[in-house]
Amino acid sequence: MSAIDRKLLDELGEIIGAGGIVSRATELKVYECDGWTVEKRAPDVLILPRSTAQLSAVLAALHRRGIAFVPRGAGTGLSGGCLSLNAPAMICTSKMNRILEIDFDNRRVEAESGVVNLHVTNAVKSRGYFYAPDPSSQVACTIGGNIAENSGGPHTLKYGVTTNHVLALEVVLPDGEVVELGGPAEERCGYDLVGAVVGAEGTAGIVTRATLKLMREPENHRTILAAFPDADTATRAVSMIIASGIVPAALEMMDQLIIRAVEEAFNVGLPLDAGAVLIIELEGLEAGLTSYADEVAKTASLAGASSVRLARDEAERALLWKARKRAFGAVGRLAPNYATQDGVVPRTCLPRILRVIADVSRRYELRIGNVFHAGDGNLHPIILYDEREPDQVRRAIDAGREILKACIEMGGSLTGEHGIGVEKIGEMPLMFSPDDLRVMTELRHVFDPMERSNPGKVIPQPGACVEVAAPRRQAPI
Amino acid sequence: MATASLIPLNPARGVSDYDLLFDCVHCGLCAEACPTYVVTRCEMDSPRGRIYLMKSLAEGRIDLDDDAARHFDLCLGCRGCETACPSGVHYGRLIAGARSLVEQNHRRGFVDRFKRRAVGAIFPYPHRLRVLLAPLKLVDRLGLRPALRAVLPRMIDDWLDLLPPLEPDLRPLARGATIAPRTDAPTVVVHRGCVAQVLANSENLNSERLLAAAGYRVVQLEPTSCCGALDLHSGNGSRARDFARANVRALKNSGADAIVSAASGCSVAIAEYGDLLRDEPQFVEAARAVSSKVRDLSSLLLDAPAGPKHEFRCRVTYHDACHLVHGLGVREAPRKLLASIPGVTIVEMTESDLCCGSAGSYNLTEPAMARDLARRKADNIVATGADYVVLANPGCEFQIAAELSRRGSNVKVVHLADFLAMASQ
Amino acid sequence: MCEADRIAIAPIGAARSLAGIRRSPVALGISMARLARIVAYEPDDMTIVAESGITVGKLNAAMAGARQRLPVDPCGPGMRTLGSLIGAAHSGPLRLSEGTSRDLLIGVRFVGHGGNLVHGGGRVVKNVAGYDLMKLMGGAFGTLGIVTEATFKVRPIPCDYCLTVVPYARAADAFAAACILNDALPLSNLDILSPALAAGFNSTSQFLLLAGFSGSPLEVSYQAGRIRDLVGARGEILDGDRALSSYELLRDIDFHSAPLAAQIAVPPASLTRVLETCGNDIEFRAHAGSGVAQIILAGEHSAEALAKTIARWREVARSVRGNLRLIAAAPAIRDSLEFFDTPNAGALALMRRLKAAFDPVGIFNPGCFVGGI
Repeated sequence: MSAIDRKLLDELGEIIGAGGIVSRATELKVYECDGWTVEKRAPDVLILPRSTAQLSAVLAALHRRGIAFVPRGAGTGLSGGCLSLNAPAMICTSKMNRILEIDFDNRRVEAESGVVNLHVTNAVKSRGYFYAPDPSSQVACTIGGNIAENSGGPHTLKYGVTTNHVLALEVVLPDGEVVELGGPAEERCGYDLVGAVVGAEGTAGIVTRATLKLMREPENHRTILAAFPDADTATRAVSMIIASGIVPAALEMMDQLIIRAVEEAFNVGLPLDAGAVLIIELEGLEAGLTSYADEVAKTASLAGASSVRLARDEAERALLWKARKRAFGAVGRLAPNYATQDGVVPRTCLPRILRVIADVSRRYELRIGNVFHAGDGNLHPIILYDEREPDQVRRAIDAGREILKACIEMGGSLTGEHGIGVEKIGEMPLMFSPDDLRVMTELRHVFDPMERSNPGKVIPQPGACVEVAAPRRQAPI
Repeated sequence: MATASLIPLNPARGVSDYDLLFDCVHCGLCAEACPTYVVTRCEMDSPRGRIYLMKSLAEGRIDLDDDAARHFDLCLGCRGCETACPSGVHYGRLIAGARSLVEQNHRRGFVDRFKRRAVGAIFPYPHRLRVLLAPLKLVDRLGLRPALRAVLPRMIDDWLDLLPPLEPDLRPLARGATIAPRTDAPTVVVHRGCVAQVLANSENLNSERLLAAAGYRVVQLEPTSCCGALDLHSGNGSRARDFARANVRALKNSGADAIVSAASGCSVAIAEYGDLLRDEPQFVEAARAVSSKVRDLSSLLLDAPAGPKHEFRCRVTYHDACHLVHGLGVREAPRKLLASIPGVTIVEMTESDLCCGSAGSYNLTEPAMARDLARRKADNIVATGADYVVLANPGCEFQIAAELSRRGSNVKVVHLADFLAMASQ
Repeated sequence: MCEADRIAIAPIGAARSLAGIRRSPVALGISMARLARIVAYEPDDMTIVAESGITVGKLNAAMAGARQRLPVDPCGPGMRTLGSLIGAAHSGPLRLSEGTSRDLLIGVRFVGHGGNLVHGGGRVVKNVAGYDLMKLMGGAFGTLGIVTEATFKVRPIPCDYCLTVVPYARAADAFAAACILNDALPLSNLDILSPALAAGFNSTSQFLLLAGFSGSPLEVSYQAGRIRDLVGARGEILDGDRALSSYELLRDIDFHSAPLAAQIAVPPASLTRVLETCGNDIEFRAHAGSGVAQIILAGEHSAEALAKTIARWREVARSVRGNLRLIAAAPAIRDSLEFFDTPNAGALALMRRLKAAFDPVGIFNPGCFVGGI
């Protein structure tokens, strides 16, 4: 039976007010999964605190009863990170969405963890600043979720990921204690606990506040669309561009399946006869951009590009990015379902891994499209299938696993930005030895000795129990 | 803990377009584009949450209880989510299906039923509305509105607040056609709507005159029926289709090349007749043809050669009416048109495309949420320091004007057609 | 083995960084000198894997052919091992544009308690699998385990580098100019030297602003023009070898051999005021855009006076939510000084738990970190 009884609900209600507690089954239903919809389990109670003090009191109340909880931001995660697994309570930070301080002099923003990623940039862009991590879900995902997953985005190549932009955190530990980690200065005092909490996928307590770095907007940018006869040539061009000493702000690739889907849906003028396209964005001083763009265009042609096009104006640039960012949605129109992976390989292994993916596609008789962050070697193979055919579902899952294994064999990683969550927890031993995992567990216990904050995530352990349905389609990346 | 089921559902039946639900990949990008989510910050008040409820209902995993109905009711139908959605989910069609399901299978409380019936019985019929407003006009003329307010129940009182001034329309009308329409000029018909022709007819007349002045041949529509949007949004699909058929016949007969409405909600409803009447073989083709002819006023005016411009010095902020921006995808044209008036400075407001809470009859049936959104909108408007807020939908006009007048603001709320007419004087 | 006998051990790389502040000697120093191979370097991946005993200088020499580098620039890169770079969180002027080892370290292998070899991260530039053990090793001064191998992101060496040198009579003017430059251009480095430290560059005995910028010839000439507009005619812009040798001079200012040196870190806009408040008797190198400065106390002082000075500096740093750690102190005064700021109670409790979890017996560099860890 549920550990959530009337008495606890009353106590929580007293802390939060009735409007912040959801306990009826119909309403809880919508919280049973995030962007990873393969596994589902609704929490028994959902709590929406408005302040650190409320959240701390809630965790203390749960702690007294030994009740585990799952933190949730906007629920846009793609690995089941906020699946209510072995935890009756869910705590959602969506109502803690105030930007507390904007300090232009020091290029810092202090925000509550429920603030939406894009809202930070919106609040500072009039003064020529922006918050660098830009996951494709940035219109909805929260800073707290970004911190949990150490989120990236297309511009990771130049600016790094969330952990490079977080200076300080306020964290409520699983027993309700509020701790301040880090500070507004660039150097820390003692161990880098901020660095340990970022990317911990909510297993170190709940982040309530963060001090973020702001970046100065570049003077200008150039966005280049290069078309190639096949994916192989395109990935070799990636290496050649990097080797030329130019580091683009973003370097994205789409293969033929994706190009056709995107064209069909949005009609942005991508070359339909191309085997693959690269979107290359350069940014910096206007003085240097033209020559860099020329050099990139030359390199792309040398590598075998059939055409190279420079976005003429802001509108055309926006259109190219729309094509890229909405590619997943477009693919949703090709098949009833799709599953996507998030493996990473060293950049130079891109041609090899793409051949592996093509081979997997042939052997499993499944269409697989590729749209990904080529500059980072971060793949997103999209495996198309139909959930009404159980055999296809099984093949889709196996195909995904095989691709991930190949990534690891090439010295890569299971996940570049989606996180382990529950989705890839079974594959963790492929990447980490028992000693590695034991040390990680010890680290987790420093923050959460009873494993009450987001239990059953990141580190594999037996005894997980969820309703496993057929994998459905996933969200755009 | 859930409220007992009232009507058991067959899995995969009852909710229309079950397959369409699978267009949603559950990414959540729609959430911040949804006014109700922005206010409540709860998943079940987001488009993704509502679609999840529909899916769960269809699959028999939840019952159509008060909670489910409540979260469907709370949807404004603004379509902000469709703009945000990368997967092309047909949310408008999905929520219309869910509303029908609720109307057919869920029994509401007395007051709620009364409100919804009253709306459905009065608003689509201009003569009924005129009859009802006649005594109120008299009351106003005698200066007795305060006395009336004192004796009316709170709800009716709030409704009355939303009405624009009832004196004979004082808004200036554009001068008649300044250039003779070319014989090969496209013909345009202005659909005058139901509520709009009673409460904001200047917007219809000005639209017609501006179009004529721009060289279009304007033809009249006979007869004009309600577009059916009110019914569609309140789950009364069958009457919505009745209205749609009547309009398809009339609009087809008008022979117009382009169909315009001063109310963007009507425009979108007409633009979706093809979809609404998809199961009626004898109508669907004509409906699709009619739907394909819907245009918006500002785009037509921009396409035409610009007439002489007078200076009109003021600061203007533009509010994106939901169905214009999310339904028809018109964002830039009205701004360009405003910017082309010498002396006009456009100041963008924050969240210009977030619903003001009017949403057809929503502010009558869901006053609390509507008021939250109106306050938010008014805050954003006042923050711009603009003299005028210009918009292209009478519903938004009444809603925003009521809120601004409550707080004693002197920002004037003007429909785009009226504003252009005013600026051309 | 050491655990069984509770023998305190420390890797020598970090030991050198700690030499200036260690109070009690460790029983066993572990030389990392023979763990100094480059394990893997693929220029097109822009990553390098190397054992921790290799120096930054050697590592960069190996990448020079591909015109790449690890852009972390502590003083004396020929002396500085990767292990100490990570453990002691060294950085230099380039931190403004390239970040620190914290931003560039993407994989780590270390010997943890029980002698287990543990790894975190990997060889790819983007990786969120498992907890971020790299961050724990960074700045831990060898107290959680001994780093044996590290993987870094590397960066291309820019075509051209120039260094603007502008003298100012008042520190405040130098900082004000720095602020304007930082707002206008994406500088490589932006540093301010106090008169005594600036003596190596010129003999005006004034404060010196050193603003480096880099890029293609076109970018460099554009920036040079902008800078001339912004700082006026008083500045000199060095290019080519003169720029590089001046930059090296700036980078290699040695604070470790001073009788008392500290690094102060505050929100960048507060740095001017903080240094002013620290007193007239200090010399400093300030990384202006980063809010980090190394300061030394000029002249001879009693142990008591030194302790008081440190306490005052700390107070100043703390007043703007910054912190201060000592880089070096003469052996005679070490016993009376706290080398690190003490974190707030909540954070310190977590740090103690972390130390206990990673080093239950307490053999890794005991007693030299924050709060006596």
